[in-house]
Amino acid sequence: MSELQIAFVFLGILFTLILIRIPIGISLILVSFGGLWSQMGWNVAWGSLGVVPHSFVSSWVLSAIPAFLFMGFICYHTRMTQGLFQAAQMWLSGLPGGLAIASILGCSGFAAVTGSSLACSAAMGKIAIPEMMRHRYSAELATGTVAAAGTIGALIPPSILMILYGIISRQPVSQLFLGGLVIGVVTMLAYSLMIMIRVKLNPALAPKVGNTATWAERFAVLSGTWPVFVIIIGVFAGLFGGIFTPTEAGAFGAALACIVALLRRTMTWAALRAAMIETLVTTASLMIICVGASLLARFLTLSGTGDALSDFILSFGASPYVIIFGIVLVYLLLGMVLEPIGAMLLTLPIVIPVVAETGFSLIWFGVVLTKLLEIGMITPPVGMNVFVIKGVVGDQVKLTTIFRGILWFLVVDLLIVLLCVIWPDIIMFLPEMMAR
Amino acid sequence: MTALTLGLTRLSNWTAALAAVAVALLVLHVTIDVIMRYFFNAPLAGTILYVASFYMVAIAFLPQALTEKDDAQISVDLLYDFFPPALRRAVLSLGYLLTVIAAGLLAVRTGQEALSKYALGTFSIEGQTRIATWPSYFLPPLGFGLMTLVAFCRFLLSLSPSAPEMPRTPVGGETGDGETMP
Amino acid sequence: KNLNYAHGYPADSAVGKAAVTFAEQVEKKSDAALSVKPFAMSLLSLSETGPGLRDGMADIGYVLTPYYSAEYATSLLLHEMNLLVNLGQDKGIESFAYAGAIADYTLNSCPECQTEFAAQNQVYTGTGVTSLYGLQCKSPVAKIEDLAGKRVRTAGAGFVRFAEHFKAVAVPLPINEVYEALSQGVIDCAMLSTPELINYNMFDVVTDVTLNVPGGLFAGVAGTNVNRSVWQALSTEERAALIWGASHMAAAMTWNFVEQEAEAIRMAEEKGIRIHTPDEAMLAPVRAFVENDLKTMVDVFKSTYRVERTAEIAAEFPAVLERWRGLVKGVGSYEDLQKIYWDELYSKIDPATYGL
Ligand code: NA
Ligand code: NA
Repeated sequence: MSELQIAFVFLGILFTLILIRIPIGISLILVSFGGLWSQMGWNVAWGSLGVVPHSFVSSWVLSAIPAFLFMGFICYHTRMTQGLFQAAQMWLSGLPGGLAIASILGCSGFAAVTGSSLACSAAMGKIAIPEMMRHRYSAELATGTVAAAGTIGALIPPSILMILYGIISRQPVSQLFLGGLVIGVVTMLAYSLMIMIRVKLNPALAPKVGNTATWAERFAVLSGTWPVFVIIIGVFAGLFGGIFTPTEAGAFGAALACIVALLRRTMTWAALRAAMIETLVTTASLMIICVGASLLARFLTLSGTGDALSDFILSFGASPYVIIFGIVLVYLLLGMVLEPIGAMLLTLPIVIPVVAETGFSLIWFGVVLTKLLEIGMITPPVGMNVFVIKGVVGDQVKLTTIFRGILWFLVVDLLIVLLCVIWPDIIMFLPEMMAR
Repeated sequence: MTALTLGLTRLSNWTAALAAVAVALLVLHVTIDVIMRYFFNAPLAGTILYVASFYMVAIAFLPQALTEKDDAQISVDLLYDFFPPALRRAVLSLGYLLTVIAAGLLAVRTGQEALSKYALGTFSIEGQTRIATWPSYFLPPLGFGLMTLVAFCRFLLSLSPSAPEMPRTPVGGETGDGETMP
Repeated sequence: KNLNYAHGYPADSAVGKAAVTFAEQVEKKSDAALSVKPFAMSLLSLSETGPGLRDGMADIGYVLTPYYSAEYATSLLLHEMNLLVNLGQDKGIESFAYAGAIADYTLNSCPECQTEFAAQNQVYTGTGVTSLYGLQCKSPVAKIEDLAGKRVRTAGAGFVRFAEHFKAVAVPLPINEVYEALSQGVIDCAMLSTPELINYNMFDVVTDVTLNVPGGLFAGVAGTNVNRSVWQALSTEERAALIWGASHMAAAMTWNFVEQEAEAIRMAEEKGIRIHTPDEAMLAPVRAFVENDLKTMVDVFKSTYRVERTAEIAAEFPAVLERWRGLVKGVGSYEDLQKIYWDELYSKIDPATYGL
């Protein structure tokens, strides 16, 4: 068997284990360990178990994840988010699926604060999903919306993925960010439109919230929204005022949330304890998957999957469009099992020269790549955003339900990618305008 | 067996409590650093080192046993829902067994690493101060070791004929509250 | 035989390109008995390369010693003396000289360094270094007094002392956060080697670049360390080919950094960024600081890293650096540089006995 065939055998075992309900982190770790052992020998496999977990986790940039999770859980358990959703409910009650659309807008606003889609779905999940469930939204719609909307977090700047791409490909991060802003807003609008259409066709998905509020009531309810706005504005002001970096924003936001809760006298031991335990369990269950995904990337690298990929892409032929669609296909497949950073490190050295030859701009590609990798965050079987949402909702909603809820968002995403390939100017007009 | 599971449950909760302290320290340390830097031009030395090497490692690994005990590790129940009861029990047992193997391997290997870091007395230098970093290497083996024991208990319990075909499933905010195993 | 070479940098960077040169030269020298495959970032990250190489996840690795202070304490002392480059009178050859000197001293005069690498299951085969550190800022730093009150990103204890000496606020940040920190105004300046302007696209966020202040360079590298078991399993000819390759790596990465510095300055000027070349009035206080700081550094190093022979090494190394300043004087091409490294140092390593 060739190295590549062996790699596919191990990926097959991985899928099987995951499908029969073996915990995903455990499946990734065991399959990568077995793969490294069979391909590279015991020493490499055994060595990787010692090196990877500590080095992957002991990361300053990753610390934004528990911090933003804690901020979100505090906001939820001290009932700060209720006021916000009462307001959203009154103001958006006219729209079909108003709360879901409010969640998407909320995520997009939050995206301007965080660089990772995980932090985005973590923070918004705890705020938005319980409210949607309380208003008898279908579980699929409620969870799918926030999992998908979380991906906007890595599209609208700042974005950790784009920074990394900029470093590897030597493209200006600021222009990537401008392209990301465009695709982020396009995604936000397309998601909202799709929800409106779906709810219009099937009103049972999102029962209409009472529409009798007067304008006076609508303005009155805004006063209940100040706690969340204080936190969001505080985080924004700190970021744009040069007070702290995006990584530090998580901790600052969490501290601010605790202070606001104390001032409102809604901070109880029970709330703090619940927020803390949920932060720990969610972080721990994500980190073991990250460690496994990081091990898998080493196995795929060493088994020569990277070289096989470039052969595969080049086998599509010479037409630039065919090559680009080949690359899109590759990233959709990779995104199923790999987390974005691993997928990027594994493939970019091979893919960037190929893209450069097609004549497509590398800035355009960086933006589309970020979108593709973010799609991977919500595709089964390894969809990190979906796992975050699962962590947030606990046992009320099954993982498969969330993945079903993702389906329509995936369709929209694929249409957006198609649009970007056919009409690259949609991404490029803003960076090109600013470059002048 | 009951005494053992009760003991393990307490241990899981205590290590998770340590991780909770790490979350609180992370939030406080970074916030104070930001305030000191912005308002007093006097950032704290070593914030990044403490966050990355100590708090993050504690937060990621110490709650693994609690997460395992509460069945909060993330898994896919797509096909599981359609399995007949006997098959459900079989794959649950298999899952616990594989968890014992994976977490056990990790515990032993990260334990070796910790001992070698301890023997070397690894440290980092922040400014003029020497900060010992070897203690942080004992957090992964502690977390994975306890996770192995918890998974092993669950594996044994899952073999009993009266074992439920569904894992004990905690509800949202109640994880870690019950002092019970499955 | 196939050897995997993990270097943790983008394929397109100074190090990434040098790694390709290394691979080509090893293959050529060994008559294709050895082939080297460079892995850019995907196999091991920079912080993982030391332990990963030890455990055989790669056969050859680009090891950054500052990540592991306890493991490579003596080697780090040789890196910590990098501010010495500010004291030489010949400009433009600082990096070439330091790369020769640090490899020379490690191979020939530092048995502790060899022991440290052996304890990590590695064989040291020389290294290159970066170009000089400068300041990349959002406002002009044309006089040394301009530093006062600025928040400056620093890496390493020496640069922290430098910042504090000139009344700046030292802000430690990982390099991948510098771009955003500058763009948002969390920091005013970053101490970086000038090629990072290209590597991290700092062009978008800085308005002013000051060259050669603070000076110093990054030498905490063992660029082509080989896994010890792999090394010992090779034939004498194969080890000779790796040593030949290592001389190319040392020359290529250092040469690439210096060449990229010139390119970065050119690109910065094109984009309207102001370049400040320090005059004597600015350099004199920097030199005065360095002369003083070397004594501080030796004291601090002795007490924190606890290297027995600190004073002795600190006394011996400057003479070695001086010798290399003479050797690389007037070097005008990559080929010249590699020849000097080979003739004066690398050719004297005995592949039949070294590292066995
Ligand atoms: Na963002
Ligand atoms: Na996926």
